[in-house]
Amino acid sequence: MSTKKNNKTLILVILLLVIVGMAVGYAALSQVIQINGTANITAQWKIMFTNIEEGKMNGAETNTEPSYTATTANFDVNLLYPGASAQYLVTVENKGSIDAELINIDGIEAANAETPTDITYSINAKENDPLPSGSKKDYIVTVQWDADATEIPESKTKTATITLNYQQTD
Amino acid sequence: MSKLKLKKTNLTMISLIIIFILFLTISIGYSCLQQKLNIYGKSTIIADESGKYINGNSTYSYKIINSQKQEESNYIIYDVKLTIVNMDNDIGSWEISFDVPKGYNDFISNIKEGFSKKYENGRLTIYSENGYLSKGNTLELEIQFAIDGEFSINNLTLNGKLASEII
Repeated sequence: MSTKKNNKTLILVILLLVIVGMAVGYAALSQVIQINGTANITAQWKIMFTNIEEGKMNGAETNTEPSYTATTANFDVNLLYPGASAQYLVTVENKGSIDAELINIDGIEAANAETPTDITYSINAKENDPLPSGSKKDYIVTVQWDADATEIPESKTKTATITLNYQQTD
Repeated sequence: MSKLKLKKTNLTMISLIIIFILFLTISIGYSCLQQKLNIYGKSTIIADESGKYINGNSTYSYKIINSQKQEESNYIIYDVKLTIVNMDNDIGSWEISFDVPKGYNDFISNIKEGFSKKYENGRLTIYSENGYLSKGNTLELEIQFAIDGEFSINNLTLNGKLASEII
């Protein structure tokens, strides 16, 4: 009886040793593989004004030299008589690496609704005008005094803020 | 069982939250790629010195062909040829106005038949209904002015727009 018991115990111990040995052996044969990755954003989003200059002037004189920054362009003009008009050429450039398009133009209607209504602003930009990466576009901003005006309005100055909204294309 | 159910619900909630956060991140990242460019314009109407008349491009000149003092009065009758060149828009019905000297007498001043005139507050207006004057064309008028003094024309306007005198 005791021999049998001893045998059982021995087998158990041997089994245990085998399991431990397998576990240790497995652990020794394991290899940690590490994947290191680094992601850098190299794309650039850069839509900006790069120039504004006086265009065709008819009965108009530039009051202050036009100027620009990356996001604003300014002009100041005097209109001498009804029918006078002034044009300013504005350059928009996509200096980034992502294609863009002009999704809408704001401010024209609001400006033209203000007094004096004989002075109107316009721009030859169109919605969905594409501006691919690396390209530039010249737009003409025109301000004019209605040729049919027969009296000088009380309010002689009119300002406008024309906003060009660009978004990346799909 | 209830513990298992709770565990499942928690996992589902966590998954949904993660998906939502990912979605937000993507949409915020997408909407950032916009650019607004502003053009600020200012325009000012510059009126003439008197501030009363609008500057136009037309020109005018006049010539005194004859002048003769009227008998038994201080008036001098001036026969004047007035020439206006329209350099603004085409006009379907022209109207000329100008200041006349204080001694002007409208009753004994004359204008060629077919034209009309009116005098008010020191300003004489001559007009022709249906008088077409296209841009670039010339209008010549012969007018007889009766003036107690020297003759002059000032602030001549063609359809409301100030013309420049060519001497």
